[in-house]
Amino acid sequence: MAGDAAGGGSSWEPSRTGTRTMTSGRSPDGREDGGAFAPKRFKIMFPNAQAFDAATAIETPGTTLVRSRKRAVLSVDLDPRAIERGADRRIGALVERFGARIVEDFRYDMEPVGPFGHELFEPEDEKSPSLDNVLDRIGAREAWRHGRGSGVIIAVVDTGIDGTRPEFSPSRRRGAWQTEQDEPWTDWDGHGTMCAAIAAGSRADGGLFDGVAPEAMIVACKTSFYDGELAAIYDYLAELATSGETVIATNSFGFNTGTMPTLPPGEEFTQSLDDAIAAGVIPFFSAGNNHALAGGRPDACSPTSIWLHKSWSSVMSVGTTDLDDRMWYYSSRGPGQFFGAPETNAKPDVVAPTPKRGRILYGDRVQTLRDGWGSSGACPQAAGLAALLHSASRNLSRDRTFDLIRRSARDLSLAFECQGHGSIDCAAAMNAVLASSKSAIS
Amino acid sequence: MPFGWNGKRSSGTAVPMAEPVDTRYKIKAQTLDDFVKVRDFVRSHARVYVTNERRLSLSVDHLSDDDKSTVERLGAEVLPELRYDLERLP
Repeated sequence: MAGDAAGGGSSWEPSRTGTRTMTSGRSPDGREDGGAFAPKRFKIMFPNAQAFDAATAIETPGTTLVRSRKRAVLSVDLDPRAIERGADRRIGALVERFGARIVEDFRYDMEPVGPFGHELFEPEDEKSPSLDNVLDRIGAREAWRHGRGSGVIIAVVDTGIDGTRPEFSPSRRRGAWQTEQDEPWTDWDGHGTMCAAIAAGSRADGGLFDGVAPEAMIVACKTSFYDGELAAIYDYLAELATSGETVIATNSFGFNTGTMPTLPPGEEFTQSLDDAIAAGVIPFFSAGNNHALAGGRPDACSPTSIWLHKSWSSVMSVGTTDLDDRMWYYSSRGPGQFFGAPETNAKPDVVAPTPKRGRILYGDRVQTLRDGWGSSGACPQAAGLAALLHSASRNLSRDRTFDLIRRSARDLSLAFECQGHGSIDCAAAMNAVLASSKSAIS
Repeated sequence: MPFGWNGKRSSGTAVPMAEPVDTRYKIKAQTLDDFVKVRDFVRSHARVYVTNERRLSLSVDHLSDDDKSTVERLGAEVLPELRYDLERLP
């Protein structure tokens, strides 16, 4: 019986680690109580895969969040009172018929700063520069007089987007991709929400920040960056483009390494990316944060550390500076791994600023990042600019889009391998596209 | 040896997900018929993350040696799945 299971001690055991989390004393449900808590997440542990199969073939209690046949474990959300009172007969059945043990599931704290490293996040300081300062710097607000991204899709290929944030109104959500049984408008890290906010956040519905293209439509492509996921995402984006949508994709992932990577046999992502480009998708990539990893001095513009497909001329690769136009010590340098091969060009194409101690939406809250937002935070600026251009002038080709962004970039008087064509200038790019439209009409 | 490739399993930065899964495989078939057979088999033996009919590939979590053999017998290749990194600051 369930009551026996709960009270007998041998079948239901509070796990030792479940009584506290690893670093904060926070309980699994997130309360900072440091003491007793009411757990919600349980593990149902079966003695073997056969028992797991047999049990999971029939109805199981609660909401199943993780199934691991390998480990013969389910992770489920249960009402603990149901266990204590024996209110759910299915729990007793699992114990009696299948030899299951039910224990509290413990939880590690996610590093609160995601991929940027704990020490790079600083206490909130509202005097620090933010995305607002970046928009001023790149001339986005001036460009909005002629277009704000409406009618254009920005696909954010990242850790997901926090759908509870008002920066991403449901009315602007044009679609999504996620793995099976996942929810795309959630963010497993916060990084994807940052990139989405920079590219296409909006204050219109109560958000804290506008992004570069605040009226663009958004597609959340939530991934853990596996090759198969990325290939499927780009197949999906290709379908969107083929259906007549203007699809601009922002991608802030790569290989964090200082040495040239190669791809293994069976790799599909770059093939899918190539197919999507042929279908009309316009992709932007972070140049990478590999300069220091490659042994480059902060003031040097070599060696190159822009890897793989980021050398392609059919993608735009974006590095980053601070607001004083100095290259960040980590921003990957050109000319790119494959420079000189057919269909490549010297990289980075451009740079975009991410401020020291810069405040930005990261997941569900504003965070201050000591050393900028990485090339991750630069790439969505350029993608947002592309959306602005397309909202002002329909039917721009990919090459024309890239050309406008490169030619209008502000020269920082740095070597090309650092700055590319310079720092993006939305107002200048918008003026250029409008001028070319007028001249085409006349 | 290519970066991020140990010949056995996906590599890359561990992500903070509440997932006990630490291995991801790609299953690649050569024909649609094989793909359908393999897909139907795998769906009852592992968690499937991605089904890509266009590329005749599946992305799945752990497969036992027996399951791998079955998949291969059904006409598909089982490969370790490459994984990219988020851009992290050094």
